[in-house]
Amino acid sequence: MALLVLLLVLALAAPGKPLITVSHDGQGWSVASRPLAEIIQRGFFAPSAALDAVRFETSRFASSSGYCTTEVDHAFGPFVFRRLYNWSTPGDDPATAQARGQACEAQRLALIATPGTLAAALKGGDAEDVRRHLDAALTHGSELAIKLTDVGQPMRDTLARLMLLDARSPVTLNRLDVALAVGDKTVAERWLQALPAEQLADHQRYAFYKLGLARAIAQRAAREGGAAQRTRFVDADDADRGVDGFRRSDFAMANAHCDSGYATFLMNKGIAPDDKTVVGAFLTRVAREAPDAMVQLDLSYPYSDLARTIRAGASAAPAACAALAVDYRTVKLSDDAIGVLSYLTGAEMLTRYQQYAKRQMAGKTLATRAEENAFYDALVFDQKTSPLPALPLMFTALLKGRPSGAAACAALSALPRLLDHDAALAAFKTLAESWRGKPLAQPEALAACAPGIVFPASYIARQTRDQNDFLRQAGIACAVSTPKGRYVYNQKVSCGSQR
Amino acid sequence: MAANAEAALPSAWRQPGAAVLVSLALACVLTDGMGVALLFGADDLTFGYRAAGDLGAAGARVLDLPKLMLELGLLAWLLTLALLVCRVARRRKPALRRACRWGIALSVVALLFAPGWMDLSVEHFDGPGRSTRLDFGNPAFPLLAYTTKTERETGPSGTPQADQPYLCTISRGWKLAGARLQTTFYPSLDEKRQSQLLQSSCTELPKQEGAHR
Repeated sequence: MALLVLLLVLALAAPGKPLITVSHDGQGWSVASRPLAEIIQRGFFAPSAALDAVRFETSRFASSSGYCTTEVDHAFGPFVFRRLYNWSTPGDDPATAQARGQACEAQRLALIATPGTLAAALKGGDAEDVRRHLDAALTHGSELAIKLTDVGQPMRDTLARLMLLDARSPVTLNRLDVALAVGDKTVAERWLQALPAEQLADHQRYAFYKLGLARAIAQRAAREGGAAQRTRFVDADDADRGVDGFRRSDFAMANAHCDSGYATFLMNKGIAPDDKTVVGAFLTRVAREAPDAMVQLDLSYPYSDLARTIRAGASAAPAACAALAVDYRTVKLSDDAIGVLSYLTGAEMLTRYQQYAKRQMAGKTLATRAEENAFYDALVFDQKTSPLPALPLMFTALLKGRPSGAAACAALSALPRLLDHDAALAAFKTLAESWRGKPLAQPEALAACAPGIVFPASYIARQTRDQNDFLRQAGIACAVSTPKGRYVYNQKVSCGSQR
Repeated sequence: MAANAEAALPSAWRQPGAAVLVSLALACVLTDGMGVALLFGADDLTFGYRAAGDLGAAGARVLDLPKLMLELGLLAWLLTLALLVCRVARRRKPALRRACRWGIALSVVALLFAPGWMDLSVEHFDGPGRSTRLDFGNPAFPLLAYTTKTERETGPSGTPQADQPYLCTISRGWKLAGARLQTTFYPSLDEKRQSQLLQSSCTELPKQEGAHR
């Protein structure tokens, strides 16, 4: 009795502190005191849990990972009775480790099925039910016990779209993501107060912007002070660190959603996109529309790193992506960047071409396929059934009105990859006409251009004709010629007196 | 005149009682002891202590002895003062037995809740691989705790037990407020008796092809 009274006094005098702990290799139980504010907020009785990633060594060469409960709390008035778990101990053999992994997953699944909790509502998949249970999360902190793959439809697709993930990704969910996915501004703002602004993910900052809560991020960042403060002159370092809580890396979300409004919002804050931003916009579209092309890309540093880390964008209308490219017209692009954009413009169509060719060649004999150029000559690309992807529109919108030798070479390189697609040719015609009458910057880049040959010999003549039409419409006194011969790899551009 | 002077002295001072005198004597001894220890640089007190390199191998020792004497000395002076006040207020001598009980209780509380700068350690060694340590000072939460930690060990290299795994409890600790008792056991540190310690104090595990640590 005296001990109980003593514990009660200590609980009231030292809230939130552990009082008694018994632990064997991290497994055991403890009694802690509970702050009055938490009792008022969560009630007299309140169960909760904490989870963490755990590795199970199932053999010398293999291990599996699980997301396991490390603490299960049962709050009772001023006390919290806590059960501690340790799923990996030194004495475990592989069979024991495997059994523990299964027990861990079984316990987690039982936890998320607890009725009346946020996890159970997410399992049901109904957005309204989730909204009602937003404050009923079992776990401490921001991480939830439930993974994306446990969530029912349509909530799973909504979350996957928000986080730009595949719906099959077994990622653990964040409470803030759930609040943003159902569009609950009140809870989202409350969670924003609990998290430092710089710990927000880029997709979360974008979601706050879409909900009209960008000012809340700015206020939060201002309270935290430091480099997140608004500055009048924004150099590259400041843009990377952040202005009003937003930073240059947020352009990735504008690119992923082809959201011209968001890009403009960031630029109005003084955060300027750079050439990696523009290349990222193109890579995002390639990753979305032609994921097979991503593994075939051959880009040099630093774009190779970007290609490895870029996330596939969300579905977006080509016109929206073209509008985004217009916003990036102010970006000073290096010749390397322009070359990469040209390469990417045709990358998607190249992949479709390869898939179509593969289908065409299926069933033909080896001898037939081995015939010289038979592979190409047998191919007839039906452009009417293939919708124009966003990339040619983005490319032409980006380079409109600012001709340069590098840009012209890039256009000449991109054209053959577009396979006579009438809509793409129309976009390039518009680009050429926008250049007409303007001086060509750095013409030496065009004189040294070697566009290359991509497609079948039977198409070479037509491609050369399209390229020369482009130059004529742009008013550029150069011409493309194709050397004669069976094996042709590079075209030649002749300008002025060289023709 | 002496009789008048003596009569003028309050009875509490003339006959303070055994409890007050004992407490006063203890306070003086502890204070003087602390002074002597500081004067001669005797920070530690050892009993049969023997080291093997940097590790204690046998015996026991008390670290930061002057701090212990300071704390207990302060307590004794406070107790003396309290007993004197009690003597004056109640006009009778405080009972020696009760005073002893109070003194012991207050000493225990003082040790349990000693501040951080009053850290004091008592250690005992049973070979280089096994030790017991009692610390005082810097009370922190949790107030009451019992923790154990195990680790996988293998037999001495170059012996038939080299690939035999054992599960050993390498640490066991008890805590009450600022008092911490911890036993540690690292058989690999005792080269001479490693095999014997593993077999007597650890659990033999089945040899595995798979998991390792």
